[in-house]
Amino acid sequence: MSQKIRNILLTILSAALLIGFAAAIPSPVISDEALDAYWAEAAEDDEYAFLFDD
Amino acid sequence: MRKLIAILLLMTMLIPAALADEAADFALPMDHSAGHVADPAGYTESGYEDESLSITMERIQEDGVTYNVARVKIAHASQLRTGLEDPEKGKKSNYVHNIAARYNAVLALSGDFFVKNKVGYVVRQGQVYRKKPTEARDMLLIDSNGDFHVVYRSNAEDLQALLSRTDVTFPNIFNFGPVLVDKGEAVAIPEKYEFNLKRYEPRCAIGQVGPLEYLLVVADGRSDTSTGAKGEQLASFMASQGCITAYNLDGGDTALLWFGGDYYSRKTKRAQSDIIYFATAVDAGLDGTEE
Repeated sequence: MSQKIRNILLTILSAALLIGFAAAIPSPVISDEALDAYWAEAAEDDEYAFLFDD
Repeated sequence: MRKLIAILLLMTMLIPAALADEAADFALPMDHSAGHVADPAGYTESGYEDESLSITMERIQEDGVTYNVARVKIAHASQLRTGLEDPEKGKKSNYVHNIAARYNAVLALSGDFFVKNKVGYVVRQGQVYRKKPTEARDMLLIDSNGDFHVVYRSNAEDLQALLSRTDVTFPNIFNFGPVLVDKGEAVAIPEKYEFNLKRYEPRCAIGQVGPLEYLLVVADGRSDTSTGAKGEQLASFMASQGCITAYNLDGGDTALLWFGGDYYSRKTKRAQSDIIYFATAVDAGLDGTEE
C-alpha cells in the first residue's frame, strides 16, 4: 500500500473517530417537557405544597 | 305614623337589594371570554364613559419622566380582566393591540409576561397556569371583589392565609413586583431584587385607589423626551396619585398602555403573553360587529 493511500485512510479514520466522539457526548439541551416535569416535582415537595391540595 | 314607618322599613330593605341587582347586572363571566364591544359614542376627549366604566387618560410630566396615566372606575369587579394570547396553555405571545382587540378591551396594560420564565403562581381569569411561587419576587393577588392584596417575596404562610379565605376567590395573580405602595405609603425598593429597579427605564404599574377604582401607569423611557423612571420614583408617583396599593409590572419594551384602539404610551415592538384590561359591561348591541 502506498504512502499516499495510507495517509488518506488515516485521515478518514481520524475524522470518523472525531465524529463518533462528538455524537457520543450527550447534548446539554433540556427539553421543555423535562423542565416542566422538574418544576412540577420540585414544587410538590416544597413549602408551597398547599397549592397542590385539591 | 305606622304606615310611614312601614314604608321607611320597606325602603331600607329594597334600596340595598336594588343596588345589589344593579351591580349584578354589570357582571361579566370570569373566564376567558371577551367583554362587550364598547359603544363608540362612549369615547370622550379625555377618556371613556358609560354606565359601567369610567376612564380618564392623562399624561403627567415629572422630573423628566412622562407618566401615561389611566384612572379607571368600574361598576363590577369582573370588568377588571386579564387576556392571554394563548388562554389554553399560556405559552404564546402577540402584540398588545392584537390581544386587546380580541377581548374588546377599552383600556389595556401590559402584564407580567409570565411566559418569559418558568416561575410564579400564575392564575388568570380563574385558570391556574403554573404553581411555582418564587421568593425572588413579590406577588399581587386580585380578589373577586376587585381588591388588591400583596405577598412580599411570595411568603408561603402569607400566601396560604390569603388563599384559605372563604369569602373571596383570587381569579388573577401576578408574579413580578416589587410592591410599590402598601397601605397608602410608598414602599422602599429592596436593595436586591430579581429585576433592576435602580436604572432609569420604561416602567409599568397598576394600583388600587379605592373600591373598584384603579390607576394604570406607564412611564415612558429610552427616548429624548422621557428618561424613564427608577423604581423609587415610580413608587412615589403611585403613592402621590392616591394609590392604596400599587405593584410594579414588567417594564422596558414590555411596558405599554393601550386605549381605545391605539397605544397611549410610547409604542414598542415587543410581543407578549398577557394583558390586564378593562371592558364595558354595557351591551350596546355591537357584539360580533367588531373587525
